[in-house]
Amino acid sequence: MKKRIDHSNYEAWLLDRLEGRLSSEQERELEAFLLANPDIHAAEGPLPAVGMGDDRLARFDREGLKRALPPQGVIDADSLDDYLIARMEGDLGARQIEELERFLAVHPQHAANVRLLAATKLAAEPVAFPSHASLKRALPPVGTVNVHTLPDHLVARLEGDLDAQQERALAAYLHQHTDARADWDALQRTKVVAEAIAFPHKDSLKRALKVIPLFPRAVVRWASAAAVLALVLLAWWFRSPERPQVAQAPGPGLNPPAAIADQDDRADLTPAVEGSASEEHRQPAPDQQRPMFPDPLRRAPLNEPVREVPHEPAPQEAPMAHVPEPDERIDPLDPEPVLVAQATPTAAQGQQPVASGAAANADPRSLGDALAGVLRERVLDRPADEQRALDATDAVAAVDRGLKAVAGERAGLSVQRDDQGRQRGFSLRLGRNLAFTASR
Amino acid sequence: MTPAEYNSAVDAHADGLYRFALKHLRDTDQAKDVVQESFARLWSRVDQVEAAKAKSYLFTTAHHAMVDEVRKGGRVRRLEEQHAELRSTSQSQPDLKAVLDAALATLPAIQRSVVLLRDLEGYAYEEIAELTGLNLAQVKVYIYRGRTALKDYIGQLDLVI
Repeated sequence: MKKRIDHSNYEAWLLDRLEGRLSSEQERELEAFLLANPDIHAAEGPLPAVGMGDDRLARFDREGLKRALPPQGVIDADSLDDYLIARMEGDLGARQIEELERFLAVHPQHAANVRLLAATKLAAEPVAFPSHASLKRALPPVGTVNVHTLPDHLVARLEGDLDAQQERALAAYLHQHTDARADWDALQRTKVVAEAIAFPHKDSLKRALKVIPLFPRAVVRWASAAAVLALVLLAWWFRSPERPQVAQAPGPGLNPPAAIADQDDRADLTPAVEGSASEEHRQPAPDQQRPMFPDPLRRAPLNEPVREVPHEPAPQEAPMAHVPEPDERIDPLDPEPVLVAQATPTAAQGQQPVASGAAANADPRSLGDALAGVLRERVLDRPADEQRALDATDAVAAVDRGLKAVAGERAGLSVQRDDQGRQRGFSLRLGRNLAFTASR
Repeated sequence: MTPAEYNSAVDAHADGLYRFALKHLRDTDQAKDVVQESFARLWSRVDQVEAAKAKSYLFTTAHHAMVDEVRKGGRVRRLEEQHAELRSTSQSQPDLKAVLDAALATLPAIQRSVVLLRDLEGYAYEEIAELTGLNLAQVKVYIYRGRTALKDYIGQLDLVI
């Protein structure tokens, strides 16, 4: 129950009425009190309450709340800091700066504020970073690995650009850091494997040169075949250690075959024929005693039998030419010792003094020697009696000459050799537009 | 940019970047890490960044790295802790430089970056906006609020001492 209403508590009664907590009897009692005390103006209107009346600010108040950076408008205590900062930042115009200085002159109590704000300006004193070198980079990386240069070192390792010291440092780093090891594993998988991929239409890219043959194709073919055949035969002839040997059986009245060489040649080949038939002439000249071929190809001296046979005394028959009976001790089925029958002197040969059997025996020439002499003189343009044995170089020269005779000067055969005489390649030219070349 | 231009950028900007990081973090090791990280990122994009943009790229990278570092580092020390530290470390009145450094540490990371870029490197509002990814109005607000906060800090320290 409320106390009796008086001047000390009438406001509480008024609040209770405002909140609707007075009974009708209390309402009447409050009204009576207010009428008895006209000095109390509470009855003139309701008490102000939140939400009652116009909640919009006056236009002047609303504009006063607005701010701008840099500040604008009248300088007062509220906006002074913004003006001071704007002056520090160079955001004020000349007129605003003058207004600010006038304001500060009129209000010296803000001098401390000005000093404090000026102190907030940081000085850009020089500070040096202690290790510029650690920031610098190079490709491939220089120095040992660290957390910042790890990617470069990993790539350099993949490319093989690290030196031994960097490799060791990186290996130790990877051993200690699991994450770095994972990075390395991932990086290794980025290596692109070179697959064998063939261009499907390679032939379409090729371009053919137009060849204008000088000779008919058939001629070139035959010439090629002939040259190759000649090359093979000559090579077989001069290389084979078991090539057929021509032996001249000892016996009187034996002359070199007339078909081999003409008279002049025979005179060259048989210098001893025209001489006396003395024993001295029957002996081969010192040069002739030397083997004509190197050891592997050396054949027995012409005075010696081709095959080792028991020595029998020479028959003391009349020195007339005859075909000697084949030695029965020689196996006729053995093809190796091919004995060339010596022809009986012909009439043409008869013009020459018939050499005695001893003189005939003195001629050291064989069929092979005769052929070699012809080859030297007619093909190689060298003296027929040259003592040097024919060899592979001569064979090549012979083929070269043969090819030139068939296909002209552009054809030929040449063999390249190194300083030790080993074959390094060859070039077989069969004309201007056909050549085979190989090199090692 | 070429590797040679990158190494020129090291000579030209490493000190400034280190000063920016050191003022921001107040820790030499962390500042060195920020510099290393910034240049490492620049090196990783050396073929994409123009030489003329190297400085802004470095400071942008450092700003974001430091903001992240501060966020990871937890709370900003309260003003009273800073005052206590200053009083305990200096028997005489602390000099303004130390006070200002302490005041900077009380600023939020973004405000600190903006004030440092403005004062140490002399960047314009537009450049700071580009570096930090803020708009122009935000940059101005951060600078004005940062200055006010620094002034308040120094003023309160004046009263305390």
